[in-house]
Amino acid sequence: MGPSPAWQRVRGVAPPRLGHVTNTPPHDTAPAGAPRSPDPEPGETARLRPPLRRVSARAIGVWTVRLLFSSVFTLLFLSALAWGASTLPWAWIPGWARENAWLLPSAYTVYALLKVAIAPSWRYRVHRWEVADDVVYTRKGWISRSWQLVPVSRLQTVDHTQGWLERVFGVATLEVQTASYAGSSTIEGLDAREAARLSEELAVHAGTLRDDAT
Amino acid sequence: MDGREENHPYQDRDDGWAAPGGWIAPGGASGGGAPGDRAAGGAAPDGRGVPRAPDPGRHAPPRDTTGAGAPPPHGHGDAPPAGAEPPDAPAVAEPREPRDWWGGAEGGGTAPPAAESVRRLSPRSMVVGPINQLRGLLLPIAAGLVLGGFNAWVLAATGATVVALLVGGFVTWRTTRYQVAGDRLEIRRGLLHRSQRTIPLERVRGVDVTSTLLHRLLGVAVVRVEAAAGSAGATEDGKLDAVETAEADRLRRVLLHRRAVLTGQHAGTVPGRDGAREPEEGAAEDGNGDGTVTYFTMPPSWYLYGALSLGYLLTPFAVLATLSGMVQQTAGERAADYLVDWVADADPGFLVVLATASAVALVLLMPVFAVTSYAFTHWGFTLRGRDGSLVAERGLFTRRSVTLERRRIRGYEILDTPLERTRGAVRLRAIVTGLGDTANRAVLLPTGDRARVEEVVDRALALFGGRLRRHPRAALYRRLTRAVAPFAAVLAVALALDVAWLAWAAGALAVLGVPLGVDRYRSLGHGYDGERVSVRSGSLRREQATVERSAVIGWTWTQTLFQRRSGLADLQVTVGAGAGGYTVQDASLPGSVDFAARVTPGMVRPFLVDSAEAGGRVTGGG
Repeated sequence: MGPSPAWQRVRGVAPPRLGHVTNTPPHDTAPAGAPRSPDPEPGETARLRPPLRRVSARAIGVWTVRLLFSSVFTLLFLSALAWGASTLPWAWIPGWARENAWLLPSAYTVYALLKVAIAPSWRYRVHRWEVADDVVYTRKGWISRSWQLVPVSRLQTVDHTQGWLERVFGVATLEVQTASYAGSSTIEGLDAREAARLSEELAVHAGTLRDDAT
Repeated sequence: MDGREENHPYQDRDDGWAAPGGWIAPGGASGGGAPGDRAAGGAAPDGRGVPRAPDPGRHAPPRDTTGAGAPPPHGHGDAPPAGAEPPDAPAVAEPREPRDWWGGAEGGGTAPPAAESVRRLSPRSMVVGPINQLRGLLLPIAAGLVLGGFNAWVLAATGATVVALLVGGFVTWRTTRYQVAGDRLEIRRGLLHRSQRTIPLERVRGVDVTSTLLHRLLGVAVVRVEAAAGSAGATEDGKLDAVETAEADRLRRVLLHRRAVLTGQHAGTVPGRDGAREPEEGAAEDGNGDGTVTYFTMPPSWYLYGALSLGYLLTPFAVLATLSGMVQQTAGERAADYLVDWVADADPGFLVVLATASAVALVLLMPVFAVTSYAFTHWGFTLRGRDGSLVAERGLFTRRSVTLERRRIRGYEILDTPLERTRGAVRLRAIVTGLGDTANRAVLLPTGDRARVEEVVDRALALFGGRLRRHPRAALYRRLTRAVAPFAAVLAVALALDVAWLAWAAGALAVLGVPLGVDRYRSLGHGYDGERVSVRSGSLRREQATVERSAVIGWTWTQTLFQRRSGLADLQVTVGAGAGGYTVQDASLPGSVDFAARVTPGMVRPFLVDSAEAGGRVTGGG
């Protein structure tokens, strides 16, 4: 693998073992009680606690800059539309659109400013992660949230990537993938050194816990 | 080649075994190799086909208690010396005797595990190949002949093409050879650009035998060996077109049997897969005593279920469209003009009668056509179990046989539509790891009576034995909102803009959304019977997926703002097979957490709030 300073990728998960038959990772230990026990009534008290670790606070910077960029692009596009609608001499543009052409870009500006002010720090408070008991546990999102559990024994690849913006802020993204596209989990905004260490650890650990991975 | 390549599922050895100078640029178009294969050999581009570390101790089959050690290394990394010596000779360290190759139960007319003799395709493939290729060229050739006015040049070119195809068929037959050597299948082909493909039998996922009508007229079949690989180009893994039918059957048995032995398992003794249940229980053992168990043969009445399938119901229209297209292509403008004239001249009353009669005939014909075409594709459907695999076979003209390895089957899906529900009919699909084209290939049974389907599932796999739990009432309101609200919004806009037809259409759809939403809510459910997880959702296409507990490789909860208000969440059960994940829609968040914790306690329990300090921090972390 050639040195690629801007884009670092660590791949280190042990390969599938051939001829492995029993597909029984440790977390499958049968629950107490006979197998095929009748479905007991659901306890409605079970709750997931938030993962313990936060991502790096510098991730807020990355998210803010990213959001700014995308907002500016959208604003430019909308402004071009509004300019076209208000000045081009096309007859088919209705009068009300001509008069209120700049309403949309202005409204978007307000929305974007609010979003840039709120979303990154909110996201930072939601984003958490934890690796415990051979399970990667993450929480992400801001308005909508998702909690994800990925057992380390089922990992197929551990990717550690760092875009140019993330390099500026000294953070990195860790992506763990399983045999299912739905089972891959990303941790954005980790401290770069921590991400490198974590990806190494996870890869090595996954190798020792390896099973069929499907 | 570096050392890492040696254990990849297959390698195209362009420089092996061939006489020096025989090959074209190694980086060029490979003989039959999908483009992704070569790349996958080295660095596994998408990271899924991770190359195996060269650690021989690790891939000893766990059930191989005899201590025979690792299977022989298949394929040396370095190319064998070019020359007369076949490349496999040094590599085939034959599997040692202590291994129980033909463990008692296995009778079968299979050969001993030594390297078999090198075999060729059936001579009849010389005919099949060119004819199949010619079929694709038929239209261009016909067009050339007609447009060219049958002049000598076109005729000569056509003749040359046919001759070239025949020669090509002959060369293909002469140069293609295959051999089951110890623990791998080797396929060599090519005259100028020679290639050798090696498929370790441990990696064989399935062996499909297909035969079109032409194949069956000549008594041959196509054998397709599918190997485990992460690359997308895994469709043409190993294709033998064509071998004699008996040889195809023999090859399938040998490959699957050796694979089963190499991976340390035999039919029906997969631990944790069948549970305590023997697959033979109650099933008709076939007379030939080779361990084949027939779970299902198509009862004649089941062909009628074809009339329930929308796709087959629409066949008459497809046929009509094709016919009219052909008429237009051949007769062109003149036919259209003639038709217009005829309609203009005809008696209007007669036209109305004619139109009504043909419409009625078409509607009456719909089920007939549906059943007929359904019967063609599902003729003689059988589901058998042998050598640790399930084999589904069907088709009248094109006989299709799909072999699914049992240890790759993680569960099953039961699907139905509202139309099928009126007759209590369901469809059955297997949830299999690493299988493409699941719509066709994972089909285990034709559409049929639910009770009978469940009985077959119970014998062939293992039926979900629990009850599905209903979802909270709030889910009903969400389903209703989502089914009705979009059309209600359109209705409002249409009313505001005073567009009558749109308002009527949106209003009708909004009203129809009510029963749809209710039915969607009623189909929601999830359950766990101690071994299997089952998830059901959908109305127009209701789907109940059941997977084993050990197949669950993760959980994802998502909660939108609206769901948070009513305490609901979507829980996705991650499975490394089938669709990759099955979603429990709109379950209560605590209930779904509890559900996950009961299915995989080790995975979920460490992250639960202790009941003592359960203080609602779950959603409040932000």
